[in-house]
Amino acid sequence: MAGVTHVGTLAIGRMHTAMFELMRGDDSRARTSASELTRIVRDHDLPLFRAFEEFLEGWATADAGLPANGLESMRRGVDCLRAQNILTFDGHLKITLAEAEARASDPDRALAILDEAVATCDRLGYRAFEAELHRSRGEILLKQNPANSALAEEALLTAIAVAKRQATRSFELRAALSLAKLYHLTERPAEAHAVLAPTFEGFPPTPEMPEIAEAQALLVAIKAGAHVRRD
Amino acid sequence: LFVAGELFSARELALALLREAEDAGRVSEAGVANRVLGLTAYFHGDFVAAQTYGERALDGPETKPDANVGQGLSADSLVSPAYLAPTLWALGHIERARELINAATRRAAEIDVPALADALHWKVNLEILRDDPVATLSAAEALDVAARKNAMAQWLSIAELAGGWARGRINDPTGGAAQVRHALARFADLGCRTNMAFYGGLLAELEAETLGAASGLACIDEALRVAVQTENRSALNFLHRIRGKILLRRDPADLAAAPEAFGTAIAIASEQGARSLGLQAALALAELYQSTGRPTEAHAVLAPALEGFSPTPEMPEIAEAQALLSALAATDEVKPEAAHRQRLTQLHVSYGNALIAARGYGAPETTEAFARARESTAGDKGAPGRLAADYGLWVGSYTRGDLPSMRARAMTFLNDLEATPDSPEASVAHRAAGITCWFAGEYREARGHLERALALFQPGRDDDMAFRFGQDPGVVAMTLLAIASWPLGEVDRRFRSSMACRPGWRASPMSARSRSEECTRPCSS
Repeated sequence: MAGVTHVGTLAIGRMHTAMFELMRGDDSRARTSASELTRIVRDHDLPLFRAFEEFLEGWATADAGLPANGLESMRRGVDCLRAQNILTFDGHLKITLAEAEARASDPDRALAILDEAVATCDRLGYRAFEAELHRSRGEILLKQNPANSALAEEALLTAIAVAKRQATRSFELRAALSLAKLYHLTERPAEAHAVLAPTFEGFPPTPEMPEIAEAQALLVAIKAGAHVRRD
Repeated sequence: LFVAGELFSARELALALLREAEDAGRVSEAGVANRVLGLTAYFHGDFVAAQTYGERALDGPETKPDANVGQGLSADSLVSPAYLAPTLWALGHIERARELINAATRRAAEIDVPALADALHWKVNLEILRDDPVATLSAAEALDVAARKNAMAQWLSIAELAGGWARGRINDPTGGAAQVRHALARFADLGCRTNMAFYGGLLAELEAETLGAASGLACIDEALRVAVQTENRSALNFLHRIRGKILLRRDPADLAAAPEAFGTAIAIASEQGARSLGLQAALALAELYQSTGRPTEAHAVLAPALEGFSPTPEMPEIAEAQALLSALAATDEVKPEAAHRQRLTQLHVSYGNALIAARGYGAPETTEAFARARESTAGDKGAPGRLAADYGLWVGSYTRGDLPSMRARAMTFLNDLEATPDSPEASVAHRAAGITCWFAGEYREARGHLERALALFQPGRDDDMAFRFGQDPGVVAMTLLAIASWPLGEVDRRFRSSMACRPGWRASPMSARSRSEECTRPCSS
């Protein structure tokens, strides 16, 4: 059978794959898909995908150690989508952008992006990334103010509640891992264990989701009364 | 205020109660406030808002017994689903209305007699809306028994009125009309004005038959006056439709007055989103046009009204309308019109596709083009270009993040493919439904639809679909299935397994991973 040659399909397939790998946190594969999308969009002049391509190329640039250049492209991509009234993958893109802003030492800007994304999620009912939005918000809040973890804890608990409601076990594990780390760092091992252990059940260790091994290691450390150094 | 027909004031009070209850975290009272708001919205003819408030009341914990709520409020909240039944029916959710009223009456019967009377009162309302006198009579008799047990005067009057209307329609117009008049007098004594306009319309039907058209029309005029006084817009469609029927009976040769009344009824239903009420009026008008040798007009009015309905014993008018539409479509007058509409559809679809490239899926002009294409295929599920229009409209909604529209479009898309559930187009429809669920965070439902989309996809057979729908259904379904499945905990297999469905895609650089990485689980297709 002949392979897929339809250009629109190739572009959307690459875009979806890049989003999938970003969601999984597999930067290497996300970069491969992003660069493939760039090639297709440029070779075939596909204006529909230009904004996504610009965003993903910016993300890859920032991820490669050039945050200023990368962030500029990512913001342009988001602005371009907004100008075209395109909300596809809105929450996911905002999480990626906010995390890049936070890595570039601008947590305030990162939180503003996430707050806007949460508002959009509530306004439109676009809840596919609701749990992840709250998780990311919790992690950035903690980074912004490590001494006061109450707001971060609240956001992470919300993320877990949303993930439970949506039966999204992978998102639940991620949020629980972040919250368990927070509890572990603040000398609350029983709470760390209580939040992490149930979400971890049923996940076989796999390189497809490194958080599983990380959660396993943290549980062992909690049990041993050891401290796990924060990332 | 509510019983007296002062709906605006009742709504303001209920809003204040809702705000107060929500601020104080009193969920039971908030549920009661939602129910009252739903009821006022229903009688205002704002059926969409009535559904929203009613479902909030239904979903909340306040529908369970709650010792913190006063006895009267508690009893009311327990049967809060009941008023949703006529609301849903009016909006076109025929089967759901029946499920709801059955559940509400069953549940109310377990609680107490007043709760049962309340539920039966809404059942009576539903059966009247359905224009089913036999079912109305049965519900009215049950209501009469329940109301007598607790000496509930208002509910006794409703039972008397509904029973009278039903008997009048079945076999005793004179006796039925007298019973309705007696019940209306009792309502007046009790000061119950909320639904008097609707009840006036019921009397008009019987009086037109027993005392003549002039008497029936006088009843309608009075009912319309009461509707204005009591702000009851829920009855307007019904009153104008009955008016049209009486006018037609008065003078069958007058081809202006009755169509005007039916047209008004259709316009009101359309404004209220009341699809079932709209279909009843459209069917009456189409029958009139057909009987007066105007098949093109009959087809034009009936086809859009029938959109989205499937035949069900709950609403015989659907099958009746379908039969009439088929007969109309076969006439020499309608055939050329149909061919013209098909050409128009293709033109709008082509224009829409061109606009996708030029302006994007989310642009208003793109949506407008597909909406016009869809409009020109109204009533004809097999019309060429209709599915492309369905898809174009759905993608536009998705791009703009318009969830209610996504849901409606995805449902229409699936409905249009009921007869061909294994077709390549059904794969696209399931993909649309899957993305809609995923968008809303309904991951498990999304996975189900996307699995179905992928299972229906057949490489080779479906290769041309990319050119009709803009993307290869196999590739898009598998990437989206991965996106919807990974969060559900399927972290180790889903993406790899779905790759096997599209060999041409697997050969591409993105997916060129070692075979050892790929899952061995066979793809469902």
